[in-house]
Amino acid sequence: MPAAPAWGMALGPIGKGLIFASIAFFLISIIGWAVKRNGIGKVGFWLGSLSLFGAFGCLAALFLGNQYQYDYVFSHSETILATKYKVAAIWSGQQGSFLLWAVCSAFFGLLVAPKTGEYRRWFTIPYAVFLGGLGAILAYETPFNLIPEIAALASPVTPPTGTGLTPALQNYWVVIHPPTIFMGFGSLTVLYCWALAAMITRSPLDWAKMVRPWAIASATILGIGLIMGGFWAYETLGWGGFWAWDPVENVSFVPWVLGICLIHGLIIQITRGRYIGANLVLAGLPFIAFVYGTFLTRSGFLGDSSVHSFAQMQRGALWVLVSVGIVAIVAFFGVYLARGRRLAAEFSTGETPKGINREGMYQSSILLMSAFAAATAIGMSMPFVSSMAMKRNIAIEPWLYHQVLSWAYIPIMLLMAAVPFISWRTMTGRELTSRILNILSFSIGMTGFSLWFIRGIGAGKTTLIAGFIEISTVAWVSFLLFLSFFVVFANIWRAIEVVKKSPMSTGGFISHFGLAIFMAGMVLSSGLETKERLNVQRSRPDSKGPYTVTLKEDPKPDELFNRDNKVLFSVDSPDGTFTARPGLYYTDSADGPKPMLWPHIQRYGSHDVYFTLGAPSMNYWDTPVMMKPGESKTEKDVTLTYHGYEVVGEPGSPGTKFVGKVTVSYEGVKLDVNPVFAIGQDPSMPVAGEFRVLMTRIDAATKGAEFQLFFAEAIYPIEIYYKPMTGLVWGGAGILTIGGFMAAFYRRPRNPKSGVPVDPEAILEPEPEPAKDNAPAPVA
Amino acid sequence: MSIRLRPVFTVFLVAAAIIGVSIAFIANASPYVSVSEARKTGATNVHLKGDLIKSSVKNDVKTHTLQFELKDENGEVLKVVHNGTPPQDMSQATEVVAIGSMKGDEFHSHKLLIKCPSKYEGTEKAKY
Repeated sequence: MPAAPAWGMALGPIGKGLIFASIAFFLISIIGWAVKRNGIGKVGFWLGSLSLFGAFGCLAALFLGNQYQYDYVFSHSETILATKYKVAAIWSGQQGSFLLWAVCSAFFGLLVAPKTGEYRRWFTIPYAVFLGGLGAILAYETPFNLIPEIAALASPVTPPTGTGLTPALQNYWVVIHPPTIFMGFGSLTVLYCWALAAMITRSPLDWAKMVRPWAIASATILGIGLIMGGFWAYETLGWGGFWAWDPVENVSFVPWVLGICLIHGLIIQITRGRYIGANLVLAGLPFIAFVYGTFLTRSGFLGDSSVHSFAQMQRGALWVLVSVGIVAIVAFFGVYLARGRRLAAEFSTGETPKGINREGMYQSSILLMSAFAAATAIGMSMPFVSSMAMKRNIAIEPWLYHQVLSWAYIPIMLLMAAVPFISWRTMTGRELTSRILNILSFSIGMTGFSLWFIRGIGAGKTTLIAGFIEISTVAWVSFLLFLSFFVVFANIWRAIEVVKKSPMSTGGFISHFGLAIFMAGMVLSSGLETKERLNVQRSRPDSKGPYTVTLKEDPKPDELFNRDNKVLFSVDSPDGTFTARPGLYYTDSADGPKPMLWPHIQRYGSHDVYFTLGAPSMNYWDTPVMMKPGESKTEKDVTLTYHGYEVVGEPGSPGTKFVGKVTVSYEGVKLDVNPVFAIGQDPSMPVAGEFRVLMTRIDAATKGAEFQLFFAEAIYPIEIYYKPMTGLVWGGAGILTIGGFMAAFYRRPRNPKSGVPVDPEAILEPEPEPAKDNAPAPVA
Repeated sequence: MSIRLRPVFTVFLVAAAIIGVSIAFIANASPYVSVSEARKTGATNVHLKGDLIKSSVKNDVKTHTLQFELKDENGEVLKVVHNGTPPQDMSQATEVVAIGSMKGDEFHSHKLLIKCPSKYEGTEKAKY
């Protein structure tokens, strides 16, 4: 092995040193701000953050420079990886992902701190405490350790390559999804620390206006990260879905829902001067939920109840994480109980009016969304609770999440459609009905109309809803589709009404509209999914349902270890003929070659044809069988009869051949073949119709021989999913994101000097126009 | 309701909701069971966990079924019939979790989770 380069050996200690330096700088920052030496506090925070960036830079350089003497680099990368996957490999393990979390949090801290104005002191102190804590975790779980055997050498060497990156992670989404979602996680710290600062400085009013654009940006970034994770699963894992309510997914999903709650709570506070206490709590919860979730997934306690390989943390690092979590919770609720509650009472103006008005409806929505988040968090925690309290491992499956969460989902969707029509002043049921009736009828009509398109799909299937009612799947899908239509048309209508007054103010409507489209795509693509299973051989195409699949050519053996290898199939479908190119290649392992498979997705305007390939197989019998002369073995209508063998040549000398006499019979065909076993030579594998026979060894004592029966041609198991309207998932996600960024931009602070938005509330929250031209509708 | 009782009522309501949801989850969750537990109860919708007996694996590609035997900690063995193609990493599997129900003397599974000694650390997911 070549000697390790000096730069490579230096970067490890430098990286480690930078981690320790960051802890020291954050301590200095905390002390500086605490004793009101603000300059020191600011510089300390800057230097601490830059140290973290530097440490990340060191790690990146070690990965890109192939420094496999480092344990973390060795076990996550290899020389032949494309550069983009070497970058992805940086955060593919535990240590690297913690460093990414620290770097993203520091980035947001630097970005937001100068904009926090009077809150900066009490914003930075908890922020520096948290970053110092992450630094401590990284000091325990450092990615900069040498491989112990190499560290023991007098002159260290660099192994030529590492063990590589899990093939499932070698996908472009893994390059961009983790940085995005960790940016979202980083932004949660901003919300938490700023709320703490608002309580400590007794100033919750400016806080609400200043934090709002960041809250919207945070939820938007986190949302993009979540969606990217779903696309990665859909495109690479081959199980045909976007979302599986996996603990890792829920850890990011719960903070996102809570962030959405905060955004709506802030609207109440800014417009009506109420809901202050709840907002302070809602700003802290996403961060707390995320730290809790990180503990759950990284602690190893879920290890036995989930097969997903959660790398367990070192105990020391885990205790730092637990301490960070406990300090975060105790500090936040301590300050809230000591100060936040009184502040809320002090600054609140009046009571929420009774009856139908926007404020009450927002509060109901927030309550429902909080319940949604809480139920998800409970589901996520149950395996942990069960294994701790009852010593019994359990799994919460996706269908169960759907049953429980549908209770909150339906009213949330109804509110998303109705609230845009509800004014801040209390209105009567008759007024609301007259405003909304057109949209409601139109949505019902459109649902009926779309049923014509989905006729015949999913007929006869039933779905359990809300835990106890069994109804036809089509009826349930139609109802969920109606909910989406209702939200879509209501929000488009309102967006059109206000777009002339202020185009950018439509961000909220657009994001709701995008979310409803996204959900419609999710509901249709999984609710009305159909699946066919086929087996294809080179000369035997297979037909099932509407599909006929033909293998174009067998993959060349030397291509089978190439990561980019594709197997080409021609697929006849109702949409015409297309070529499916699922990926198949093998990696070496102790138990022989291990197949890696990637699905092929054929996208059409109205649906995806999702084509997954299973590992091709040659074996008709799973294991060779020893047979005596005259014996036969039948498996599923295929019989192999062994008659005996002939010896050609002198037994015991090289080149001696044993010629087996075998009959293979199936489907009324009888074929005699003579497989040859020769000492020191490759055996022959004669073809018998659809099969091949191999003689693996002989037993001279009994005149017996061992045989293995193969297919003559490899058989490719294929599953084809028809997934309607997946395009809506992509389109909806895009619209949701655009709406989110529009809203964040629209709510940005307009006066850069004070940092406080100065625009009048009248423009921020336009009152809906009274629906004059609507004829008074009968009240139901 | 008096102003003083309202927070008490709210706390009570929230606690009841949390307990209700927890019970709903626990009662319907799919428990991890051993072979003997699966046999005893005629289990439906459980996670059967055991060591894979490699020599017992039979893959019928034509009918998309996979048969194998799992051995639990007590040495009890149960035949599993999986409706579907084998997961990619079946050849390396040491421990298998089969999700499904008992049917007669066999366990019928619709989903397999594979635990294998991976050379890769990280977040690889096994979902089939």
